[in-house]
Amino acid sequence: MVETKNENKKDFTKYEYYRNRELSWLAFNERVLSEAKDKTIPLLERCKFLGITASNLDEFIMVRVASLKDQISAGYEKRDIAGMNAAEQLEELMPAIHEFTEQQYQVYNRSLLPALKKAGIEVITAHEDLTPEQGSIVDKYFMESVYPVLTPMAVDSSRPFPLVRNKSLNIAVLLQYKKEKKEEKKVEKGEKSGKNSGRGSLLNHAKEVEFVTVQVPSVLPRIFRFPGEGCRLILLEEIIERNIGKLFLNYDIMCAYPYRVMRNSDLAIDEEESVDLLRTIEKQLKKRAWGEVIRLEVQADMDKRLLKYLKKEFNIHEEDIFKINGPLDITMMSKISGAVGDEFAHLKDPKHVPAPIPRFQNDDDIFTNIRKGDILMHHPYQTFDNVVDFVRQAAVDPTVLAIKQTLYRVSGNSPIIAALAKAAENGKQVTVLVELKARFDEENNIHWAKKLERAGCHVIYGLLGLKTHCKITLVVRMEEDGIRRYVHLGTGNYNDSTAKLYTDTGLMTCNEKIGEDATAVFNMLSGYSEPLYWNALAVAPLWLKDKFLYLIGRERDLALEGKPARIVAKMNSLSDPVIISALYEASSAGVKIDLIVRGICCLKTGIPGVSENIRVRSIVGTFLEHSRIYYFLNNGSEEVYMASADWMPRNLDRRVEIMFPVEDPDLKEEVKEILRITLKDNLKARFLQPDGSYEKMDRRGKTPFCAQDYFVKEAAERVLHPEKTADTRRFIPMTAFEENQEGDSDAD
Amino acid sequence: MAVYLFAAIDVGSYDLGMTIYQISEKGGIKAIEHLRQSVAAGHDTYREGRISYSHINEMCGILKDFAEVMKSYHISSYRAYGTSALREAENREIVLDQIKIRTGIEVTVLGNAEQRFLCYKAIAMKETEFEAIIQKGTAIADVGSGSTQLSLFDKDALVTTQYLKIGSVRSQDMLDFAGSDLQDRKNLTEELIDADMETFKRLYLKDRKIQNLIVTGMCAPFLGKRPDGSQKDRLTAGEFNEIYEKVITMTPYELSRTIDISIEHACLMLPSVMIYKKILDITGAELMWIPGVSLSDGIVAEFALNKKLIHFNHDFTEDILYSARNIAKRYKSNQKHAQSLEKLALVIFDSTKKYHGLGKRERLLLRIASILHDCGKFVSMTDPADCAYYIIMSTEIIGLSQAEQRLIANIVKYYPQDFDYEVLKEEGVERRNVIAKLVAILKVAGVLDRSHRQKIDSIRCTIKDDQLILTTDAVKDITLEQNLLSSKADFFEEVYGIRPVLRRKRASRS
Repeated sequence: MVETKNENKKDFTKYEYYRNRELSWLAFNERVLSEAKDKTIPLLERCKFLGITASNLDEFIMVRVASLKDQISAGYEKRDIAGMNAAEQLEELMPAIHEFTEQQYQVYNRSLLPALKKAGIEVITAHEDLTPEQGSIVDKYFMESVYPVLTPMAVDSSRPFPLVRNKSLNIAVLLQYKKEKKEEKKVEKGEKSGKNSGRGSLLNHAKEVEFVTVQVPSVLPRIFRFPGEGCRLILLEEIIERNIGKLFLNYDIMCAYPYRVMRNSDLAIDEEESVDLLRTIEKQLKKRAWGEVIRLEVQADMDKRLLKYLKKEFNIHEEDIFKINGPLDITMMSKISGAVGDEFAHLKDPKHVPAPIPRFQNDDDIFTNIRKGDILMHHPYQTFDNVVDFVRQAAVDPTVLAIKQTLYRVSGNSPIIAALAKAAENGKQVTVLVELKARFDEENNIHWAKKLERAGCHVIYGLLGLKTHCKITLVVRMEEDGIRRYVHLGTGNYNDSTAKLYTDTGLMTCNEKIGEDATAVFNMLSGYSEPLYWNALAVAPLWLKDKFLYLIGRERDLALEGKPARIVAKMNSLSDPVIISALYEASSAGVKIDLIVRGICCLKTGIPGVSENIRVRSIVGTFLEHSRIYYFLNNGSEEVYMASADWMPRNLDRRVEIMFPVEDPDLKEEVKEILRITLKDNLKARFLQPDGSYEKMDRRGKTPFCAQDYFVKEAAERVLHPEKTADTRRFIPMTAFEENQEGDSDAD
Repeated sequence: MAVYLFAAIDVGSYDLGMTIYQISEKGGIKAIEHLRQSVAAGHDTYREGRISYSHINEMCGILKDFAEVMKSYHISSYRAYGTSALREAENREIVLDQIKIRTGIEVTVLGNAEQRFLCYKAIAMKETEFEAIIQKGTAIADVGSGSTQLSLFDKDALVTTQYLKIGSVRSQDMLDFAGSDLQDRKNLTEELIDADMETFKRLYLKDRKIQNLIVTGMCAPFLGKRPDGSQKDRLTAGEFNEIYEKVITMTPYELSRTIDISIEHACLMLPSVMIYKKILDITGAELMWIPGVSLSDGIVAEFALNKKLIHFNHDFTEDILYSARNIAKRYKSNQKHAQSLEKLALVIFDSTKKYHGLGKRERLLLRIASILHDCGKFVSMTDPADCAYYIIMSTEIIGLSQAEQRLIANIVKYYPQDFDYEVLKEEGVERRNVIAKLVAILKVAGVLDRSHRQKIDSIRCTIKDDQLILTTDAVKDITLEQNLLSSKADFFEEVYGIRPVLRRKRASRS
């Protein structure tokens, strides 16, 4: 390796060179919101995008905002990558979140609702607007389906303020005894009522006014569609509000308004202290509901007394109250598409059916196909079924000795879980690492883990202090000529549902070096062995970061020698300061760097002498960009890697992650092609500007090109002409990236 | 094609390792899985003389995991060997018993000579490189955690192999009293190493020209490790010295970061490189070869050889014999007599197979006993048998287990003396029978060259009418031998039920 001469080494670690990750995240959510505004996108897909921004924001507040608040209350003063402490971050962030929320409702009220109406879908926003016929329909629905599952909870001296569940939608009601009953009631209550200075009486002037809260049941669909012709929708809380009187027969309803709380739920388990991780997480889940309230959403016109009462009960600051101009919790916008049914299919993207993978389209079993050579998979353009089949076939194959797999987030009724359980029943040694710490998925994961244990699998619940995020499956077979190991490595989770929505890449191989490393990974995860060495894989937390720094540094050195140097990296987020600093150093040495970063990006472009050679683009499209691909020119001996890890400290320092090389020359070309096509996108790609904003490319005179659409077509085309497509991909010269670097090459 | 799976378990002083191997005629020996876990049992043994209960627990936990892995491969053939930490532990039997009960794994403790011979086999498995290297004067330095073994080759013959009680973990423990100052520790380690090495140099190196140094041991592979992750298997003396200079100035933390090894290993690197450095200096070798082999590689080589699953060109039996001959030479044995004895004894052994029922290994032991039978005379002419016994018991003969070594010592002891059934009771019936059978043969062979003049150069054996008829075509007078045999044949007859008789072949009429 060439030593760099750095007599006047520039400091690439200045705060001003970095962007705060929370603000960068918010910018990402704004990009998603832009999709909801985009009139070229089918209407119901736009609704989905709006729903996604809402659920994204929910999670962001629960985790990130909560963490900042925790830092403040703990007196933690450490500055972030951009030099801001927690208080400074919140100070900038909260107004931005309020502003963002307003934008969401502008899109909802001004764009989507009118557009839906125009398209024949009428959302009745207030129950007061119902016609008498509509009213009787919802009233009947209420009595038959809603009423039985409602549990109003009153507050008075003997009944403390109830637990209001995190993220649940509720209706707060103020009520009063009907006048004719009032006197009787007083007699009944007697002295007790008179002495009452409890919560119920906090509503000051009127002791008789009582507070009751009712949770909008999550077991019922949020959107109610009226039967009959036309498409009219109303939200469940409107139906409840209209019928709220039926819950309190002797009372007058003074007012009823929905509200929603969000609690601090950052799950920080001290793994060193917990003897039984499983039990700790179960306990933590129960505790989570009681977390501090960090956001209160109410309708903008909420009764002032009610608001004051809630504010006091939840002990919440003014800046954490969101006064909403529309229905609360618009995550339901993702559900409209389902609620309106197939008659509005024209307002949706055509249903995507992943294409089969040509290499598996024959009568051979999966192992024979893998033995013919490594197989690359590009989801969701290509099907995930073969990954499921891999485990399924292994479960029944008599020569299979062992199956080992990491599971991070699995789908409900996961066919993979079923196959693993079957394998164990068939006498295979099955080792499964179930990562319990997958955010918000713990309950689901514990359920599957127990199921697998019952089936006889050896279940490992992660490593102390580290989240296991790598996606790897190892199948060991005793074949005629000895042991052969088959490995699947992926960038995405073993979740057959999300594999239809997330863009991910995967590799199936029986390469000996990778097989040996895969075994070492599982021996490391199961505590059987300390890792001794790695042949091909780079594993976080101990080795991966150094490997990336080495690869980036090597390009930097080549550039300093005057050789062409090039890095193309695709990931979900970029926030690791050490990596960013290495990228700046490489850029200033002359390395041309293209980054495709969907979400957070703490790197700043266009800083003179620092990041002039770096371009960052973000693609937000129909499918969630999720694959992580890393390309290094290496003086012509190109190296291509895929990984489960982003360039984030949590991936590189606190998780078990795997980066794997793509060595087969044909597959290497295919992966390069994925990058090349992604860089060619001029429709969905937005470019990071020096001021931190993202802008789409000026397409004047250019043919619009959408990488995701291209991949859909191409995957289908490959099924028809597997040979032809494969041939055309071979040996694309490295300048192919260069041509596209300016982003101005025409799709034609 | 038959494929065997085999697990080699190394219960080391510093860590426990298991390697799963696949053995087939076509593919040879191939490692398919390595496992390793640190347990510093050696620290206990070297400091306290016994392995602590917490370490026993740890060892059992790890071996249980290993057993699980073996199960997943459906492996039934395995060998688990313990080395110096177990060998030297006072509570060795308890530890072995606990391991057996709690994990089902039966661990055998290797004698140092056996252990080194296995390592040597592992090196020799790299046949092409090994044969090429040993064409020039070569030394093998196997630096373990508790000891170092230095072996010298002359051409392709093993000249000597010596055990030095200085190893990476042991030297660390010996420096417990020292502070953490790097320079202090370096100086003290140097002193420890120097004492042993200088003796070795005086006794064995003399004017011997050593050009190549083969290095093995826990830290050996790290010598060739480069910051970019690549591995060099050859270093010139200059390159090694550069590495040495760097290592001795680094803290373990710096070292672990630089070449990506664990802190524990980095701590052992300093004493290890110092030992390698000393050996390099005293031998004057110009090239270092790091074959990167482990004890497990030797364990599997031995298994595969014994099971005839693989074939080596290198003759390991010759190494053992060569090593024995060198010991005999050192004790000024009468080589011609020893050769004659060996030759005659083998003829008798081979022709009485049906009577003794012994195998190849016992044949080898008989040869070694023949070679070493009179080494006691170097110490005392009046009591050579007992002296020989003690010399053999305290000398390392590479490739032999401690039990085999004792067996040879006993054969040599009872060769000139009357066989003492009572004393040998403690050896157990089976072993005592082997000793008796081989002593009986050696006694007869000894009579045939009683004059030490090799009058009887060759004999033919036939068994007829309860007689072992030894026919010789010796031309010299054999009256002495014939008479002696008639008086010394009792023991042979006692053991085999046949009486040896010496006859001269009738001269053919010309």
